[in-house]
Amino acid sequence: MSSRSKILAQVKANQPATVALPDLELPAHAAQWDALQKFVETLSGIGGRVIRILPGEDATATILQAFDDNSNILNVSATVQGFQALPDAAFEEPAMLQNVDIALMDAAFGVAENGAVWVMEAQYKLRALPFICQHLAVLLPLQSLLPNMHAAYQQVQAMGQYDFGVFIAGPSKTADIEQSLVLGAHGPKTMTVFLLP
Amino acid sequence: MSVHPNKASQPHAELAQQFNKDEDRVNWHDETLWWIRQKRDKAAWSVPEWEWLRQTASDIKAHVLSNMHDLLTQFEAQALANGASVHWAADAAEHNAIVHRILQENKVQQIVKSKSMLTEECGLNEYLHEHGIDVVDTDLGERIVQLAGETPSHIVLPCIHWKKEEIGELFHQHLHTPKGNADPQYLTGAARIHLREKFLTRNVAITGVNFAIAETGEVVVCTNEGNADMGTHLADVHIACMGIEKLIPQRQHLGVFTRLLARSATGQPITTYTSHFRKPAPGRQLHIVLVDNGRSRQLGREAFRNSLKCIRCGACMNTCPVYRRSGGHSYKYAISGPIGSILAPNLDMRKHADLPFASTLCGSCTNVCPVKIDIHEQLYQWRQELYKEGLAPKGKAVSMKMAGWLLGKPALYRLAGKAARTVLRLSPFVVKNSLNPWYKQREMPAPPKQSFSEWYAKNKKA
Ligand code: SF4
Repeated sequence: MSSRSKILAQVKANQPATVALPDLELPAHAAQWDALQKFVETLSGIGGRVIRILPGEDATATILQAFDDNSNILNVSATVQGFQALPDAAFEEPAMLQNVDIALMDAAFGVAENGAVWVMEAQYKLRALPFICQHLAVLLPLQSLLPNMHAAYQQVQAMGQYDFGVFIAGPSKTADIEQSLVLGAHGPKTMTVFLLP
Repeated sequence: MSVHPNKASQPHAELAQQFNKDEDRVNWHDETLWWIRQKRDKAAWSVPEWEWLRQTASDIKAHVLSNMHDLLTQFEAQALANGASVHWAADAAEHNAIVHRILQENKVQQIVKSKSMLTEECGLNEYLHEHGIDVVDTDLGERIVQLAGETPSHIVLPCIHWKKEEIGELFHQHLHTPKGNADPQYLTGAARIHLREKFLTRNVAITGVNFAIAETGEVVVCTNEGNADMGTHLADVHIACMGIEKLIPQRQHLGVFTRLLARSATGQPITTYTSHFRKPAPGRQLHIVLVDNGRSRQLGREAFRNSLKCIRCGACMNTCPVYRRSGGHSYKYAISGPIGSILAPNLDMRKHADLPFASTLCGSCTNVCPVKIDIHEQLYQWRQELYKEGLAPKGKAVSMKMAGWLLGKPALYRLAGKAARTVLRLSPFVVKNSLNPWYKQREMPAPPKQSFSEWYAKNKKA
């Protein structure tokens, strides 16, 4: 008998009588926040930076201002134009992106309770990009903010299937050395969210 | 200090005594973990619906356990449709052989691995090492213990027992950082450079799995460091190893679990990365290894079944007065602390017979567990089983001894007392449960605002 059949047979023999799935409706006393305030507060609290782009403001200029003059910016966002494009060769050899200073991409929505944004490979094109860049910059429409992870997964579901998708909440970090928090573990050292009007 | 958990043969109590020889160190260990427990409390209290989340998570997992057969086959079908390969391993040996075969098929001898307690449980690193494969653990804490020839002492905080000066020395030897530099920022920077080179050059990445979704066939991996993503997206082959209990029915259930996991583990609102791997990237491979290794047996043990709900957050360890004062290696099993003490005897009752006694049954673990596993009651159940089998450690009232061990010694009393006072203040029912033998003997005294030793120290100076 294959291990598959063996495991499945033993699981079937040992599993208890079916227990129904619980209702996922949030109780009345669940937390409620001002989404914008909570998002900014939470993301800042975990080491992220939030910059608002006001109506009529030139997004490109604001982005440029936010970073060091000498940094290279690789842009895969559909929202703003300009900066460097993703080289085709990177699909074969994603390691070539190790010297990207800033990767700029669109996020689908943000989550107020934990400061996370949802990005999908289809939007930003190359799976490794938001991790290998030295700094991550994300464009997020203000009205896309959702209160919590329940609403977030409803939205994920509504947006259709993805191959790879990730919630990113702040820069990569570690506290493995005596619980001292260090930003910039293996992924980006900083994360900036530009909130679009 | 270096104890290989699979090699030590002494009972837990003896290893715990050894750990306690260095009083400053054990105090520091205790306080660090208690501090993390406090961060968890703050995060939990910030969510008014916390108890609803715990109950819902527990109920979802109860459904999973009751419907595991169908969920497993559903998951497999979906994963295959997504273009992943699915492998089934009955035990640790088969798991290791499957991973090795995939490496051979891809002619790869050097790999990166992000944190996976399952691969620790299976002893994958040792097995691959014996077969000439170079495995680099990429979680910083895991890399530290790996360089030191140890295994993790905590499932979330692998090197929680290491001091920064020791890590500085270790990095000086292995990564050639300047001698005497023990700055965490600097050392992390050195590790980043060291591990980037591995990420950029290695073609196979192994990861664990936090959640696997039956409905979609995808696996979800949570990290703070970004090492799972750096490993997998830069490699041609991703091998995701998971215990069969990691399943959840639908994607929407992640809404519940992602709210609980990081808050329970470290007090963060969410891990930095919650990565959803549904399809392999074009031209690349995704292998999912489904591992039983005693889980289907545990499923049939009614008293211990609920231990399979565990999402490996580590909260029960951080809060456990015995864990905090005995260190993870004293448990001699990849998963230490209260939950490990339930899981380990399922695999080998004789070898791990001492673990269910490494507890005061104070119930603090049960109280913090995000999936509401009745941990201390299961430890009590294990004791009954072990007595029946004649495997219980000799001597009566062993649990009384554990309480005595913690509270009896003047040197240890200070911190245990500090913790006990806090627990009592915050949630007296934790200590006053019927299984706590110490409580059975007598009413828990009202916690003093100041412990005797603190009072004594202060008044001596005055
Ligand atoms: S038993 Fe509960 S508290 Fe302990 S690691 Fe598992 S989920 Fe966390």
